[in-house]
Amino acid sequence: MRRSGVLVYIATIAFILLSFFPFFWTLLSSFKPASQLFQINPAFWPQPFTWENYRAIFLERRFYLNIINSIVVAGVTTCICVALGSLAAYGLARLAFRGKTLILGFILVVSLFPPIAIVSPLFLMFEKARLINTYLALILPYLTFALPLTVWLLTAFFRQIPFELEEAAHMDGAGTLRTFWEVTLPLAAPGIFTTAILTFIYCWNEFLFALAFTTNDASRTIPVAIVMFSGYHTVPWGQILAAVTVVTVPVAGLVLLLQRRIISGLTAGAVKG
Amino acid sequence: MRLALTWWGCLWLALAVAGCGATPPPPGVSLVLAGGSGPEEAFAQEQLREFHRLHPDIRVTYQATPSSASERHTLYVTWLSSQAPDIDVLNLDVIWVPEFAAAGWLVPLDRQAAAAGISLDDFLPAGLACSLYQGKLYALPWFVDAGLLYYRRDIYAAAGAPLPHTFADLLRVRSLKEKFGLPYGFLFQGQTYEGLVCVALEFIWSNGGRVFDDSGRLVLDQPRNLEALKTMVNLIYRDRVSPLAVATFQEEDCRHAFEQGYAVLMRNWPYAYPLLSQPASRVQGKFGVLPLVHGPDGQPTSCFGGGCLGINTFSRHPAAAWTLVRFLMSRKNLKRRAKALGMLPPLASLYDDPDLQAQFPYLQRLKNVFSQARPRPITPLYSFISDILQVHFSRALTRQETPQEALQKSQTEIAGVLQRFGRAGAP
Amino acid sequence: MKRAVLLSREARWGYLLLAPALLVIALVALYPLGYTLWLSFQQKIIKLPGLKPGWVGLAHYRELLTGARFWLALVNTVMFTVISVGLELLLGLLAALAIHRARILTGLTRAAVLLPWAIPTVLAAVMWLFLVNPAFGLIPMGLRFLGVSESSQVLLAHPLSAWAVIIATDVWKNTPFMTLMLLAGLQVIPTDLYEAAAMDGASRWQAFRRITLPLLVPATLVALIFRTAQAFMVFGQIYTLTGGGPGNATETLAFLNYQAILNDMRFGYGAALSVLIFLGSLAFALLYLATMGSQLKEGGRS
Repeated sequence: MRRSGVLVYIATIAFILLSFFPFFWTLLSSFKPASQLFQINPAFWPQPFTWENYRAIFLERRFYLNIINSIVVAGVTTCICVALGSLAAYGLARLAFRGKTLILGFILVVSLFPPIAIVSPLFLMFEKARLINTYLALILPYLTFALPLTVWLLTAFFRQIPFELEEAAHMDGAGTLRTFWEVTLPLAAPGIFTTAILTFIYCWNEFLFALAFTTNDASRTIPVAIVMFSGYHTVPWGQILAAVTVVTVPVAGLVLLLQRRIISGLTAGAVKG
Repeated sequence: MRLALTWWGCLWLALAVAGCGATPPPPGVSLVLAGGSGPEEAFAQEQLREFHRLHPDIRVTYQATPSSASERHTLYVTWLSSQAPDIDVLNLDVIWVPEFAAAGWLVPLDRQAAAAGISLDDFLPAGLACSLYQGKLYALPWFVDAGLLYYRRDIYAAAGAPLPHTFADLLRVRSLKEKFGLPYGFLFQGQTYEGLVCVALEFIWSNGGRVFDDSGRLVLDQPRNLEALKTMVNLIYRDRVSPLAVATFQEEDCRHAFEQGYAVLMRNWPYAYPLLSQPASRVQGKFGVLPLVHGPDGQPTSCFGGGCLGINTFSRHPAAAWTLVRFLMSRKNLKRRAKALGMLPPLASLYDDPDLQAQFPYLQRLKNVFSQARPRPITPLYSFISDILQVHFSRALTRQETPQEALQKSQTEIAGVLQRFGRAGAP
Repeated sequence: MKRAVLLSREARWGYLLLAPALLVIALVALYPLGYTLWLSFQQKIIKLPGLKPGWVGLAHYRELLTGARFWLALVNTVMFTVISVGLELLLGLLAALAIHRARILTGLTRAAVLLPWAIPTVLAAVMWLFLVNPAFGLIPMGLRFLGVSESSQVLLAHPLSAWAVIIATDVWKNTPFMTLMLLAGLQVIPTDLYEAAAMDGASRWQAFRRITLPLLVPATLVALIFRTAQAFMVFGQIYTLTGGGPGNATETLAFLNYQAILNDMRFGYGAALSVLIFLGSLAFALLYLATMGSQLKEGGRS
């Protein structure tokens, strides 16, 4: 048993290195001057170490605006998505009413459609509603495509929480919403925070809708902004790598913040009730 | 209770923020000009400020769109197929004019150009050809691009070798590369994208080959084209002049490799010249440009590229948009743009301008190349044609099929497309 | 009598709780989805005005299903989906187990494991493009060091190695998604079950097979359905890394779709292709539900 433990340990370290390595290389490369970036046998360490790429993206391109836009859009979408999604999932998981399978099916179907097909009609809709270049133009489609995963995951989650606790609350006279709020939600915290991270990162990474629905600089999000670093033929690799590095920091921060919450787990005591 | 309040508070705050962002349009005539970001945007803002001084009643906003052709095309198609009036003046790639014109998305400019006294003869012939569709003018050429051969002057001088002019001269590159210890000989763009079509067509045209003959018939599968394609493929496998890596290269890969001094020759667009001349470049002062190499049956023929300005059919102020276009197309502004951004002007006479020649000492050579450059097939069906050519040229380059098969299959498939959609779009 | 009242009150609550989410989804998605479906039966190529627009019935579907290029793309897409998602499931499970059990992993390393997923897909592909660049990339340098031939160093010029790079990029970027989902699933398994199993003399492996895996099914199911759908729609990696090449060896259905709609402006044909892609994802989803979905379908009281 000891030996398998060591193996797991080694495998874990290897896995971490492998998953971290390309990112680490990007980080290092973002500090290299252009001449060193394009060498046939690239040196490991930047020489000389330069902040030029970061200076360019923040001072010349005002990348911080895009970061703010992404944070706002992703943050708002996540809040609304978790709120609406958890309510819907609770209804689907706990309450008996007709049409559940149909509704789950419909929600699922929405997210199985390739976004490319949907861009044009969506653009038309938003244009008529004068929503282009507002945050809402992104939040609405992001919600629509993040909700299915949220609802399905939380439905599965809620179903696995033993019902006795909620029954006890019912018998104490608590209504549906109160039970949900005070009993189910805390128990489902890992699922809620997981969904929050999933939704946040979906919005953070989404490109196609962000490209089509935000046409001016002020409302542009990160993925589109980075693609727009490129000129007619030129591709500023150093700046792109620097931007990629910068982009992962808030998300890493978010995950760090929430990682304990998603791994909190249930103790035997709470389950027994 | 507090938790519930925070929850609802956050939700409402979120919804409130969500509504932000929309601003009411300012009064007066408002135009939007779409173009690239970065230095192009900074320069355009300067030009627009001057425009506003000359025309105080017209306010122009600059809309930065991705400079990469396919992303910009995505945006244009999404907007214009929804008949969005948002962008008034469009920055178009030359190969989009036929399809946008056929779709009815561009305002015909013959009348306006004639009224403004714009002489179409002064435009470089290829540029003008790209702006016409079925005899009508749908856009005005704005800047010009064509393939050039960059070479290492120092290496050719040190070896005492004659400069490369023909396909046969390319074979010498191998010994030059080995003699001077360079990893690469001749670099060109061979990835599966539009650039590959440009490069391959340059080989074909420079060997006297054609895709369509003068009567519009498809003549892809013919000996001269085959020779050209074989030459291109042999560069990698038989002659060892080009590395297999070129099958994955785009413009910047070639440029960086050449800039670091890794290659003897490079085919690239003019944009690379100023970059290679910067102090950080390892080949500063050691390179020059030539017209492309040609085959025994042909003349050096580059592929014509560049951009045009067009007016959106759905624009609310087409007359004002035309005023803006005329301003941007003035000799003075074209010259300033060339000096600031290196985007070469579409007017042949500007190439004799001493000011520009001072900044671009190779300008005469460029003019010759541009004058002889050929546009890609001018048809709304070009995207279909390009797609087929990309696949088969790439397959030939990576030896998934022989050049013979590549041309035969391309001929069959393109003929199929033309027959199917043909009446609507033969060039 | 009382039961009927309870049921109808529950039903009302159920619909009420669902309403906001359903409203948003229906409001945004119904028109585009319906329009796409309708469009798939139309001929609409705006840039070819000589071509008469209008109803063509199943013509697009017929053209697609009899086209070699479509079938090649379909095979590519299915192969990519199966391999990628399979690898992600396996690696994600291992990672989730490691995070769940190994107390040696601090928050920082947990964040590191989840990091690849924080990078937009297009940019992750760009990073990998940089890594495999035959001239300046780190991986070809490593291959050179290992004595691999120069031709084989150009990974993206050969169909098989190009797919390997694409799959590697996808697995690298998306395994954290699986890890997160499976980790969430692991959290719901009560630890006293393991205690009871240990007391009954079951080995770690038996406990894993009998307790962990079955109880992970709901989370795995959801993860698989959504991740498979995403893999079936893979586009960004292909576009950035190979452009469908070499030749058309790495073309997927979504790539063809992009070309049809945004390059060729064949809106009707593209819509039909979108519907087919949807049906493909649906097929996978139904397959998963049929084999694993019994738990999800039951009522809420188990």
